Amino acid sequence: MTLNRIFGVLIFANLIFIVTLSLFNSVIGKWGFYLYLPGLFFIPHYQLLGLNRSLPALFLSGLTFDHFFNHTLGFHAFAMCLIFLIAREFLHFGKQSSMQATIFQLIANLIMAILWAIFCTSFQSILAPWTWVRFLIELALSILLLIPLSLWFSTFCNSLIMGIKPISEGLPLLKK
Amino acid sequence: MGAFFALFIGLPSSWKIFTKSAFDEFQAPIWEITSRISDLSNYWGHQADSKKTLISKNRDLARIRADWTVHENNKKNWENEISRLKDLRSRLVILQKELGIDPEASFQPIIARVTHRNLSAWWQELSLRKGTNQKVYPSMGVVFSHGIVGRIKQSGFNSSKVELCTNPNFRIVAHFQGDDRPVTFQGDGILPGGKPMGVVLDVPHDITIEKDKPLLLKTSALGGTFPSGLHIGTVRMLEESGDGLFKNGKVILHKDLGKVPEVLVLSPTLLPIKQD
Repeated sequence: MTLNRIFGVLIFANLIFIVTLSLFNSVIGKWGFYLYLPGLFFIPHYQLLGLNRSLPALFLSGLTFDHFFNHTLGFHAFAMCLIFLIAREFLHFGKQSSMQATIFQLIANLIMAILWAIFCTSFQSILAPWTWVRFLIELALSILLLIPLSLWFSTFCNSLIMGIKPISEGLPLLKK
Repeated sequence: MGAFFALFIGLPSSWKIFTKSAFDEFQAPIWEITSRISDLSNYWGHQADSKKTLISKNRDLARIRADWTVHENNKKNWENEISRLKDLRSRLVILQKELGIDPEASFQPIIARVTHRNLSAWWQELSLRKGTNQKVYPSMGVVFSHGIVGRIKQSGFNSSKVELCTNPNFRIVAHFQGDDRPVTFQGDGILPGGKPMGVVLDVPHDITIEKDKPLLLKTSALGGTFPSGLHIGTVRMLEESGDGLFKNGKVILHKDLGKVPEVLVLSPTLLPIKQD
């Protein structure tokens, strides 16, 4: 039951972040900048859930990410699941420092940005040619912002997991 | 996971379209609410304008009013001009009928507010606050004060998405100012700093650009989406295309294309329009 709650809360947290990021991109898009931050979803909390819950959670978040930012539907959903499957072999919740988790998220973000740029330029002729200048500027900006966001997002997920509790557990006042 | 990937690829496209439209209908109210909150905060922000700001705004308003008065005094001249143009138009319609040419499509404007911008490197689109309930349908043209914006790609009940003219799969028939021969305009993304770009293809060989005299690219009525003569962008240089038959060139679009807060949707008058 607790695992199902964490599963739901993590998807909810991802959704909140995707909507906020989309609004932020809508504002800075006027000046030709765009933040690309799918690496942020690789928080170590998924290790708490086990494979059967963490993969659907990442897949749903990836599908939402694809839809909100006009990627090919399913690209990030599968890419995130694949990177997670590889990473879970050496990343364990509680054993890594927050700095190590941030570095992992940066690497995941970098890998996905490169994969998406290759996909754009090679396979999808209807997508705009992603110029290397814009790619490098946006990647540098995204990575710079990912460092503080990664630390914040982990705390945000923790507070949501602690804060959102089922009604069956009762309100603290009633328990007294 | 490989099996799941194969299953996902093999899913019928109707399921994917259904999922996308379900996501869109879920997404649209979020953008509408945030856009309305932004409008409201803008309104309350202006409530706190200082006296200095109000005085300078009144000065600007007085100048606009003075300009308006000048035009009002010229009312008689404008009325004469309107009747002359109406007369010319009716003669044109008679000539078109005699020659068996289809009349140029006429449009009715629908004003719509922009709720959200998605201006990534690979895809550029705007979300609008009006949809099928306000008779906004796919493939209608969208314009703003400095020229074309794009084309309606998708319509929900109360929202719609505009494919910006910088998108690479946005292609329309165009022509250069002062030259009726059709050329092709295609979107070419947005550069860092927000500079929207396009390309012009199939330009005849005899069209050349003199130094410091860029050519203006205008819409053509041939496509049916836009009326003839709307501004698209400026072309400063043309170069040989690969086949040697035509020329190609970069088109510089208006810098405010991505910043536009309100647009005009051009609805063909064949459709019954209800303005709200």
